[in-house]
Amino acid sequence: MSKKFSELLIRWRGSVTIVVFILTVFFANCAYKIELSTAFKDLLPKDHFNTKLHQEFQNTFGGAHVIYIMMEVKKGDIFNYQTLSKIKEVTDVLELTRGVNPYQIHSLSRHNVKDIKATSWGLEATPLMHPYVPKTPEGIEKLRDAVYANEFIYGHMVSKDGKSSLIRAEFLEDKLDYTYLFNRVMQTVKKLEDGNTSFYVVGEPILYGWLYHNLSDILWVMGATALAIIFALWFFLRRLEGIVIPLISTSITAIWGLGTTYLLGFNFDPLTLVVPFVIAARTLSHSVQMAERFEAEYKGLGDKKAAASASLAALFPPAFVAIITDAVGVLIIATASIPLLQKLGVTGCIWMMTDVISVMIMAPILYTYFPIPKKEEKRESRLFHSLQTIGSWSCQRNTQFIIGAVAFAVVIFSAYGFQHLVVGDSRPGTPLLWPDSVYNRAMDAVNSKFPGTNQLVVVVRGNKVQAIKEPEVLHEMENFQREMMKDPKVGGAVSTTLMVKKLNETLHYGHPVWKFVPNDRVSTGNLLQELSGSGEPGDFESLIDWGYQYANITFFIKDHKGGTIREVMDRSKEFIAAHPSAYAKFESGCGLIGLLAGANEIITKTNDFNLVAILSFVFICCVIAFRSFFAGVIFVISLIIANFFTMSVMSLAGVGLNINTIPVISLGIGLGVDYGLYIVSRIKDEYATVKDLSIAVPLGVATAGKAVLYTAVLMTFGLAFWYFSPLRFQAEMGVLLCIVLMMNTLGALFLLPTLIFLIKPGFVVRR
Amino acid sequence: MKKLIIFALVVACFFSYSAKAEEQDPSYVDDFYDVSIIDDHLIWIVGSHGTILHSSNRGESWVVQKGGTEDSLSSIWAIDAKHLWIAGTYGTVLRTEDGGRKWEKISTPTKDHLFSVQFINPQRGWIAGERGIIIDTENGGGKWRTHSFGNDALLYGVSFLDSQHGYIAGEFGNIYHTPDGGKTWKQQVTGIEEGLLSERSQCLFDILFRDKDHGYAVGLDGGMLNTNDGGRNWKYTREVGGKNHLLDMALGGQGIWMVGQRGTLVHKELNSNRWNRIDLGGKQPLNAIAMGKKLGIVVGSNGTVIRTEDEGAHWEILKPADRRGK
Repeated sequence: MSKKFSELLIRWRGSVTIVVFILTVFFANCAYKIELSTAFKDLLPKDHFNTKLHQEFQNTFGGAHVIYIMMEVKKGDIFNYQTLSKIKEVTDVLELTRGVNPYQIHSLSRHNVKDIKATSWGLEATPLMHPYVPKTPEGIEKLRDAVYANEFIYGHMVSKDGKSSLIRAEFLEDKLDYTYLFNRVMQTVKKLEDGNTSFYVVGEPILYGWLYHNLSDILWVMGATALAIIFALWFFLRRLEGIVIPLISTSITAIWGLGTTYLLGFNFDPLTLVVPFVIAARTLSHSVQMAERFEAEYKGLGDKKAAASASLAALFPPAFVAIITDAVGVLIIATASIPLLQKLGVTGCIWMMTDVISVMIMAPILYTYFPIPKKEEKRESRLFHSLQTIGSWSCQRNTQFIIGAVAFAVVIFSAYGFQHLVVGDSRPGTPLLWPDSVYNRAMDAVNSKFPGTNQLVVVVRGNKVQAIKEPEVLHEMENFQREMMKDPKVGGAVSTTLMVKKLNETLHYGHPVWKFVPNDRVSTGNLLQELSGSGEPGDFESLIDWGYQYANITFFIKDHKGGTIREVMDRSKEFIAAHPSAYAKFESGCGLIGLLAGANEIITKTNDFNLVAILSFVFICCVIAFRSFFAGVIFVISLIIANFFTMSVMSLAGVGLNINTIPVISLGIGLGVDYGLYIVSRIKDEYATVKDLSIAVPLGVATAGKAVLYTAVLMTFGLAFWYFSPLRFQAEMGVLLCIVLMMNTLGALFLLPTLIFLIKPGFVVRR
Repeated sequence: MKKLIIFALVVACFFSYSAKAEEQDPSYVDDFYDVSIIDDHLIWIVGSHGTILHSSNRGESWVVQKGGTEDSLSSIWAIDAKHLWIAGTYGTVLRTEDGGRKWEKISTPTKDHLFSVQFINPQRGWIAGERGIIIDTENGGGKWRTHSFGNDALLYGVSFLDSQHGYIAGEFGNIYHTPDGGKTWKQQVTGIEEGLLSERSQCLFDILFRDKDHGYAVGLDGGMLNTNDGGRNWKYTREVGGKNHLLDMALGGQGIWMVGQRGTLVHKELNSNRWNRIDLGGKQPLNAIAMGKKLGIVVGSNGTVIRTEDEGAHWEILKPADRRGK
């Protein structure tokens, strides 16, 4: 069937070329319009409880788009006019920044940051530093006293050593413009920095701002990688069509893929730039196989059309199975309920399937248009003989033993490393950037001075209006805080309870023995009423609603490592389960920590499902393609080893399994199947001619293995440039992909031929 | 079988050790309100959420004692190594006769908050609290007598020199004296004015007499009253602790020590008029102080415990309250 198809294709090559060209122009036009942006909501598992809770309360109790600006002085403390003025200036800029939630700006100079005092006429709440910054020594001393006496401020807004102040601002998701916000904030703090004053800016919107800021560098790295690959192609193949045709195929795939992404209405996230690169690598791999096969066929047939037709006919089964396996492997990612993964899954699958057009259809056609290749026989035969020797090791007892022992060691290593794989991030700062990046250094600085920049918000949902006034609810909230604070990873907590206790203390001359939640409804009701009355509308909205039906507890977590998130969420859920309340329901899951917990949960499930699904699919495809149960078993074994080895390398390198890494892993694994398919298929073909496995195996390795080796080396050469990326994530993925490529190459050159030789499966030796 | 038994024993030992270790890790997030020292090495601390901590080695390690209550415990009084009393919110009174291994909840005639307890022996003691209430017992808590001043004032401090002569201080700068063990009380003239608008308004948080003539009372905004004639005349000194409330006092190391808000620790030699402010390097409220012969302990909010082992010459933080900032 593949022979008929290939002959038909070559016959109609002109028409096919025109159609593909027109479609490529159309897709190029679409690809040009694609939006390069990050949508935070795409990163959240849309059906997860935590996401729904976040969406319900993000505009009242705060969402995940929080930025923290820490100002630190080297000499003295912040209590002087000049330094305090800087806090005010930053705050004023934030207030006028597009997309800010005006009720969620917390700074010493905000009108809602107040000193509450008991007076003979009631409670008096006066803003600490609004509208004016105190100028006189008395005024500054008064401010200092008020700060040190207020638990909401001392430790949370002003550091314990008095040298730093923290400004916190939240942004509305639908109005967030990362580049605008990043530039505005960074320009403001840069202007205010001097020899004694430093600023540290962190938070998810700023992180994305940094990613966009580094985008041009990232694109340069990608460009350098592409050039390196072209150079490597030329170095290996030394012929025009060997370089140009794989590049044309790769370009067609990229244009069609990006065009389809646009047509589906999807944006393109800069963080997922790695994915198209891996897809391009796969295209290149198939193209080089085709190039090598064409050369071999042309050598025998001496006719370009016949050689092109024969190459396609020979490579059709393994190439088609490999492409389908790749495409479905990526599509499986879309089963996760995270929009980013769903988009990647769908577009990646389509993108992969375009290889059928770009490699299986266009590459053979293009060979017929190019001049006859000239060969450098000497270099070629040397590599051929070297690979033949490698292939012969699969047929010798001594070397079989060594190959087996190494494979066994890899399995043991993989089993060990896999157990330590972290779901979520595995480092305290952001794993996307280098530890010494400005962002991660700022994160360290802020976390060392303040409770933590990662929030877990627990919603207290009263069953009726005024429910939060019930002492039982307030006591449970306090007990919840105490329980969570036992974990050193929880740096601090803020809630209405703390306000009630503080007010009770304030109303009794500030004696600390009164810092408790009263046991009777009248007292708690009065305290909350007093509290609301002491401020202006919106002052306490981040803690409790006006109907006293909804409140929250905000925990500040030191980092967002996968283990930390799991530990903190488990602790909160255990408390909730053990303390049911008649008046209110506690729901844990808002804030960045809650959202990441949801994403990590989905990623764990997705990863497990992916593995089973990909294995099953590969098994079925191989069984059908080779009409052999053993073929399925052999490929699944190699896939399991490659998959677990990848994850082991990740865990030992401290790379967590997260929304950014999971697509790369799924894509990387498929490379192993591709390599194996080509080599096994070639061994089968050679066996049909020579009828002796000890000859067929080395021949198969020497021919198909050459293209495998070329692809692996040139890809590794290109990926080496990723190490210079400003994104640590990209650099790590580069190293990871190099290791995966290397492992898959070794598996395809050594392990699979050995297994074929030892098992002598029917699908290879069948007459 | 023998191996199985040994294994079971090892497992049992491990789990018992784990349980003990957990118990010895006091909660760092509780506020501590009072402290007592006996024999210069035994320490008890009480605080929020019914916290009772005990150290038998000068504060090197701590065990949590179970008082059986979640109410705040405001005051502790150690008569000796075995007999201790605690008072707290909602009329909570606890007693132990074995150094705290077992705490017994004692029933009292009040559900009001109690802020200060003092016993001169295991049977005889006084407890003061809100709404102008003072209760006393002569039989170790079996029966309580209630005295109310009827003025709804908060009473924060009790100081008895013996079974007959005692003082109470509290809201509105009120100081009361009893010459008969609490049967009758007489308000002393302190010169303090009522009303928050007055500069001379006061709320006294603690009172301490070192002998029948010399006494001190401290309170709002670092203010201090002292008498040299058994309370007939009181002298008011402003801002001894800066503008920070002074919350507790103790005698020790030839001087008097006072603690208060924002990390305030002040000290004066008895024969000197000069107050020294000691910087402990933190701004946490320091709520109580106890001094032994050499050993001294200061406790405060967020689990703050500060120790001296040389009569106050040097201080060290045992349970740093600023843990979260680091």
